[in-house]
Amino acid sequence: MKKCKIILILLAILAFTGCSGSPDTGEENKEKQEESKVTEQQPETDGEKVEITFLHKWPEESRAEFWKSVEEGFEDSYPNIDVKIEGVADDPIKEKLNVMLGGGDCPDIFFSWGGEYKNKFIREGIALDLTTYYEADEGWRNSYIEALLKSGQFEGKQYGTPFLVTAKVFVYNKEIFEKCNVNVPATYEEFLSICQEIKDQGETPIIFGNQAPWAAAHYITTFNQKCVPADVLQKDYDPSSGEFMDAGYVEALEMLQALNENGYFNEGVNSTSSSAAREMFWAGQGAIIYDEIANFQGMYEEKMPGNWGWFACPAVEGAKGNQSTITGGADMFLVSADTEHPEEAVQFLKYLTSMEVQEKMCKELGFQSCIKGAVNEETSIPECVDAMEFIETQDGIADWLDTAMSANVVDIYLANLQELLNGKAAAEVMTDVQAEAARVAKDY
Amino acid sequence: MEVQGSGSIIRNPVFVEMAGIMYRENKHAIKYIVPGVLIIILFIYIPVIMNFRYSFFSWASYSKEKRFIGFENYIRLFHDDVFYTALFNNTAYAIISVVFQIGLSLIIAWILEQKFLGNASKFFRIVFYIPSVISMTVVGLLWQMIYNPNIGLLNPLLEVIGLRNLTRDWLGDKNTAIYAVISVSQWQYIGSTMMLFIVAMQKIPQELFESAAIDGAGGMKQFIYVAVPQCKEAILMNLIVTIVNAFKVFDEVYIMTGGGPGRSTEVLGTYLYRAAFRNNEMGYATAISTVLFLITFFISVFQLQFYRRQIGDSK
Repeated sequence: MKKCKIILILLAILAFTGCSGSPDTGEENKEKQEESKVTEQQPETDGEKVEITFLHKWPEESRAEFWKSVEEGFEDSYPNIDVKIEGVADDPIKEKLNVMLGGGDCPDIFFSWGGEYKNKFIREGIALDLTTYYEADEGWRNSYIEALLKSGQFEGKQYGTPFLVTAKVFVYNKEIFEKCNVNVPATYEEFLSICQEIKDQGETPIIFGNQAPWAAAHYITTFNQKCVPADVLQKDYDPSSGEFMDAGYVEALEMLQALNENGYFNEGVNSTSSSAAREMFWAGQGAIIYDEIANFQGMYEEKMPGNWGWFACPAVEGAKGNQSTITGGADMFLVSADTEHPEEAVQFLKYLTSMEVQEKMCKELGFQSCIKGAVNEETSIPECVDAMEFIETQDGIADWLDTAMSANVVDIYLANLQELLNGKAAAEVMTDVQAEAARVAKDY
Repeated sequence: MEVQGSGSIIRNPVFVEMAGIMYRENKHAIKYIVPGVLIIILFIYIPVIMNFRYSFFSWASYSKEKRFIGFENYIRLFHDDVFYTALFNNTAYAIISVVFQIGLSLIIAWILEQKFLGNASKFFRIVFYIPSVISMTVVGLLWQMIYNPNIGLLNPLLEVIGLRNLTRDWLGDKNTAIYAVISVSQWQYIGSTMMLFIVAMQKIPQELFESAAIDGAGGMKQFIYVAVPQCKEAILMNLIVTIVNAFKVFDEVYIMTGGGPGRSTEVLGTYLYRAAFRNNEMGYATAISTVLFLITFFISVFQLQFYRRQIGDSK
């Protein structure tokens, strides 16, 4: 009984203190209430303050400071606009967006990859046509690297606002290359021979984590570009006309399979995550890794300063595809067609792609900008500047396989890539892809 | 006579008063039941019916309109190899879970109830139970590392004990991946069912064991002829929960393999998630979930009937 009484008294005290809120005096409370009333009424009285929501895919702690500064910087410049920034990681954002769109809760501005991933939003009328905004501001339009701005277009209209560009290249460990006495390869044949040499010296030539099969998809994006003629690729990646009958697709798969079967990859590729693969590479457990240039500054320079270099996937002699394209793409933002504040959303996008913010992004996050001149010696490490110059010399950028085509075909392709690495025949993989592409084209 | 008799009963003031009390009490009880029933109708029955309806349409989460396609989603589903892979995996999950989480955990519970273990029993109860209170995400990532052929613990351990020929890429090999995932579930939940069985065994009157012992029954016979029949209710309830959970499984597979390599570890839960949120085929996903609902529903009904009959018989 005593215990019960004590508990009751404690609960009563808690309830009492809970109700009283804080030890402020009544006077102070009144003042605070008055103040909060004033601030709450402000947007209504001036009738100008609006809120816009923004969804990106870089929520990492190390990048939080940048997004905070963007929010504060924008709100300082535009006090009538309140921007709510939310970040969701690379993989979950695909699901998050589907759920948000399904629930009618689309952010005013949201992240998108290029290719079919972006196109499906446009076809469904979810993304706002920004052509008139770009036409009205020549300075904004001309600040872009032309080819990258085009990646945000659909049927000649500008929907996407590219934010950064990234591409996939081979990063190598200089110490291991020196130890094995091998050099950066100029052709794919040379690439295979240096892998063999590294293997013969007792090192793992390539570190590869394909637990999430988009990693293999990036290899196949590159190999498809090199083995399949560009016009055939364009037709097949279009969900309305995909057939995937070209022999180059099988060749591309066989190239990936050969890397695995020749023992150039580490053990257990299908159960190693991409982040674990990076860790292994940083620990010196392999000579080469296929990764994005967006990670040069924040990851490779930080983890193995001075001990890494890069080279693009070399040309495949005799292959029918374009040898001068690089796998990658511009990450971009779309504005919701249902937004109540299109002007403010565009204002925010202009701020985000301004030279000031883009230089800051290059410097602090190590990303490569779509804006002319933002990647320079002052904002980026020399490897990033070189990579950016290299991208500009290429014929084009091949969108990631997993965002370039219909989600259904991607799903079959990606699952089969894991099976390919477990020994499934390349021709059988393509039979499955062809069947799904035919089904999608029929339903289109 | 009967009619008159019953009429006289109805007119009986005691009966009238009792009926009045019951009526008032029922009326009172309904006030408490209705909100619960409404919530269940709103959040369970209506969504189930809507889900069934949506399975006849082709639509994406962001589609402005839904296209009616009749039974096409079901026809596609029954011609889909991945659906049968998922069904097989769920069934394997259920069978293995019953063997370990019912059979083995019952034996462990019995052993831990033996007096000769003394205080060691408490220690082992905690050891077996702890995994079941760890978050599935943590367990999944932990075992992912243990199974990893490059940095994991399992393969080196097998080598040390002379089983080098068994070392493999456990989660990356399509022949072993699903069993590797199922094993983790058994490791995690065996302690949970074990605790429920221990509680059930503690309720068994000691006299039953004493008289069995006097009749010459040893430990094994006491377990089979006294402990197991006396724990019948707990066994049946755990059986329902274990089997239904095996068909609803999602987290373990999603975290450890994502359904891969290829589609070898796909279960119905991950398959419908993939269809809905990856491929944005909401109609197809609702067809999968309808089938999943029917499977779990009929298993539950069948087991509940069985349970009633068994318990009814024993009473």
